[in-house]
Amino acid sequence: MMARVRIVHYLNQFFAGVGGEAKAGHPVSARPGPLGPGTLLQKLVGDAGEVALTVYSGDNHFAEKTEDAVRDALRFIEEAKPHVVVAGPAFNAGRYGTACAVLCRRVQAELGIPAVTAMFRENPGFEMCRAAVPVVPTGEDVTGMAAAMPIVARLALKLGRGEPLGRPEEDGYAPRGQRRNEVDERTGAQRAVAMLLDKLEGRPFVSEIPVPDFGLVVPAPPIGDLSHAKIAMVTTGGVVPHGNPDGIESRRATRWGKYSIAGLDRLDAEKWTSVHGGFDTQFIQGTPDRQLPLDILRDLEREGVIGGVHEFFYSTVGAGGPVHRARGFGQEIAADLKASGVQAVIFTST
Amino acid sequence: MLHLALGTPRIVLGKAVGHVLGDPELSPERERSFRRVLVEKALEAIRTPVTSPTLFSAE
Repeated sequence: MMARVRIVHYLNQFFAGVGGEAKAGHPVSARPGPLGPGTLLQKLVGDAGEVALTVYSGDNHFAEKTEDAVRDALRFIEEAKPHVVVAGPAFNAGRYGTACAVLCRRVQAELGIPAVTAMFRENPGFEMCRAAVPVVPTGEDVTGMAAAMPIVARLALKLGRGEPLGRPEEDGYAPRGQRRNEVDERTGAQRAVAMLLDKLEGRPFVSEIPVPDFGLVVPAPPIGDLSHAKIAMVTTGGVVPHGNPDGIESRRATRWGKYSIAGLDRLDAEKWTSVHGGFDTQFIQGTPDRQLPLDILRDLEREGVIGGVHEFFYSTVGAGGPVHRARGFGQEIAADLKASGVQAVIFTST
Repeated sequence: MLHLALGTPRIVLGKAVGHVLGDPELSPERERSFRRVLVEKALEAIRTPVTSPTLFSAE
């Protein structure tokens, strides 16, 4: 018979039964056997596993003295010699979820013991550990316990026995963003045609390459009167002064630049160019206004159609860069635009 | 079209990847008029309430 899987379970002070917010400063402690939700976990793993120890900490203690808390928790866990560590479920409790995420990562990295946790998708701990630790998505509050714990229990047994996990949708954890090679008897062409036929016939099918989710941009309200609005230009077309003073890369740019156009009537080809490496830039080099229409905006400014043109434009190269970095550029540039009193942006991509 | 899928709220369709707000086939004067039409279309987009990705056509 297979050896029982030894489990250490991590809880916050509330679920451990110590108390509510008044006890949130409680230091890291441990008790043999299951506590609170751990009794359900024990029931679910049955004879196949044993919740040998429960480690618990006050939410504030873990958040405020994280290094101390992790060190103490790791010491308790190491002494118990578990095959797997289970943390939570934390549902939508932010401090608790963050503690579960931090502890699971450290358990895996420093003790070499697999860990699994569970929480609501919007808990800040979720994204903190999703790529490194299997996280079971749960409901927002404790009413999601009954649905989540059987999945956690099954994962804990698998991890504790050193068995490989199935796909996220099979085993009930959140996608970690990993790709694993598989051998399929059918060629890519055969699978693609089969998928197309399923789609045409209205049958369910699963894409092998999920389309990334870029999130939802809520449209800004319109501006009624542009004659008092300051308009700025932003581009991913790589327009920079000759010599590229900020060294913006032609592909996979790691930075953006901000360049003054005060007093200029148009973008002169003698002064401006494009360092974009993803398309033929000869037409921008000939007439940079084709990418940043300063000539037209100056006309409209003189005619009083718009209030003014912001004295800087912002530029980077949009070619092959990761989305998270582009999002960071956007946030930085937007903060600068807001601080400068800009009301609207003409953003030219390529 | 990519921008509609990506969720950009207000979109004006440019001429081409290499010359979004220009057309090297045109004389400099006519090209400038063409650019002005596109920029005015962008300003119209800024003045227009939208609730989802919307394409403003200058055609």
